[in-house]
Amino acid sequence: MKFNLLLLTLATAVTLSSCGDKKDINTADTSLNISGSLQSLILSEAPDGAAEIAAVRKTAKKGDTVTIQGKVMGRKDPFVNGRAMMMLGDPNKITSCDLNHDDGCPTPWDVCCDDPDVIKASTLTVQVLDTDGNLIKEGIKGLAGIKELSQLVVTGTVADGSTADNMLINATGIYILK
Amino acid sequence: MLPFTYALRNLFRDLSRLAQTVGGSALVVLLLIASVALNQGMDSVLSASGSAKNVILVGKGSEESIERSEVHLDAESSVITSIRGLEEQLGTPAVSGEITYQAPIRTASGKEDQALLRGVLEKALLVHRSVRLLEGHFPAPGEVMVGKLAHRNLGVDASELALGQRIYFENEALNVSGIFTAPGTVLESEIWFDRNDLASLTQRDTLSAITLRMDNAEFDDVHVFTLQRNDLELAAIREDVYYSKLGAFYQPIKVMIWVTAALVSAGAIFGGLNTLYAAFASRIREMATLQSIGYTRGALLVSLIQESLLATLTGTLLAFLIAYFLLDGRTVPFSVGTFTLILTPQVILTGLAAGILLGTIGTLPPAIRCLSPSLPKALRSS
Repeated sequence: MKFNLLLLTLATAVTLSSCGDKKDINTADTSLNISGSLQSLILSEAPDGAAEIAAVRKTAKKGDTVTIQGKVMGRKDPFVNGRAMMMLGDPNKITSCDLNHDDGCPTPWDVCCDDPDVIKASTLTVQVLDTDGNLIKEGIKGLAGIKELSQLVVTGTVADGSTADNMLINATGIYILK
Repeated sequence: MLPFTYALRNLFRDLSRLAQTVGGSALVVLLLIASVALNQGMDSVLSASGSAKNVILVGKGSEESIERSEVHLDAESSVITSIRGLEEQLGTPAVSGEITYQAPIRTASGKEDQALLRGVLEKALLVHRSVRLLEGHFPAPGEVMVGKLAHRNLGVDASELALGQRIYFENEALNVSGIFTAPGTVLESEIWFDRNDLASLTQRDTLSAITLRMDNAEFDDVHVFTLQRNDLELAAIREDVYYSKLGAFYQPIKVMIWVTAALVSAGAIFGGLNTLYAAFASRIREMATLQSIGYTRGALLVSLIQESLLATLTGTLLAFLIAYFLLDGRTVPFSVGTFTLILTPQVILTGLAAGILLGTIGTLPPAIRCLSPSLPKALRSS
């Protein structure tokens, strides 16, 4: 009978062992094969005069050169896997869930606890274009260790498609604060 | 080796024991078949419902549930003008803004139950390629098109949702203008409304989601659109990924199905083992006699396993017959649709393997106990 109990226990353990959380495919590691064009964006020193994102959103216009400071956050998927594009959020206006005590959120960069209107007004999109003005077909995630919740200083120009409700920055330099 | 007829004759020495063994193994195999068929049915309907070529745009933060999502109406035209490489049919891009809503629907007999409603325009057929109109026409205002299995979700007879019948939603009567099929997908259990009708009946001025079908475009291009148009507050998710995540949502139910089956099976297995222990214990002297006239312990073990296998495989056959008549082809409604139980080769092989294992591994402990005493001791046993 003990042998049977052992068999039954093993069978149950094998059946239940497949119940663990599956890795989210959208958060796959894309740190490999970062090309030279993206590597050259990384700055060794922090640019002066970095402004808050919320302030830049109110004042900057198309074509302006800006330096902003922000954190990779604002949505569940702030990076595009195969395109040089990411979302930055203003840490003074929105709070990533990891800073809230006892918050077990698996994607703290989605700032799900904040008001959607505040998130909308405190985030912007950073993209990297090639010399022909096309979006580089390579992800930024993994570039010099950039990942969700990385704090960055980005220099660049406000892109043509930007509006009062929606700001895009064509990045020319990125400095990683932490 | 002992002749096979010895094992066969022994089966009928105690008919109540035989009935217990056959019944027990039939119960275990039937539960296993039902569990595998339920899990497979649920998985296959969810995996077939999503296409890798389709991307769903939902409101940011509503990636887990389209029903909670809200997407601005203007987003549909922005998608068409901004994303290159979408599939087109006669110049119409395969982009379908839809309203998905779960609400009670009343049929002509007065029966009311929850149904999945989808507000669509005709271009929905460009993205939901599995949908085929069986009878009637696409719904115009005041009409609905019902999936072939929608009656299962409502718990009514198919005739109540036949062409020309009336259903009632929010005190509004709607004519069934068409019946559609979408084999093996959750769509087949839905009721499709004219999009403007559903918008006014549910008093909403937003879409639930936009489904688009890619041609040369890649998922990343759609994802880029959501970041470039941050003001629209959209999130992109591949349709197949969405439905596989829904499958993960049902994981606890699947685990419960397995645990229940395991618990009931454990009872049946232990009951069967007790029967075998008792039956073999009473035959220790008989086995010893057979050894004394020249049969080896191995030959006796094989004969006991043959005897047990005959009983468990009869139970397995009985389980297959019950499953064929009671389970095969039966549709099971669940919250997002309806799936069909099918006795696939995998289900049948699982049941067969269980029957064989019950007859072999299950027999070993009592058989070894019966054959292990030394010959003099076994011959003296009562």
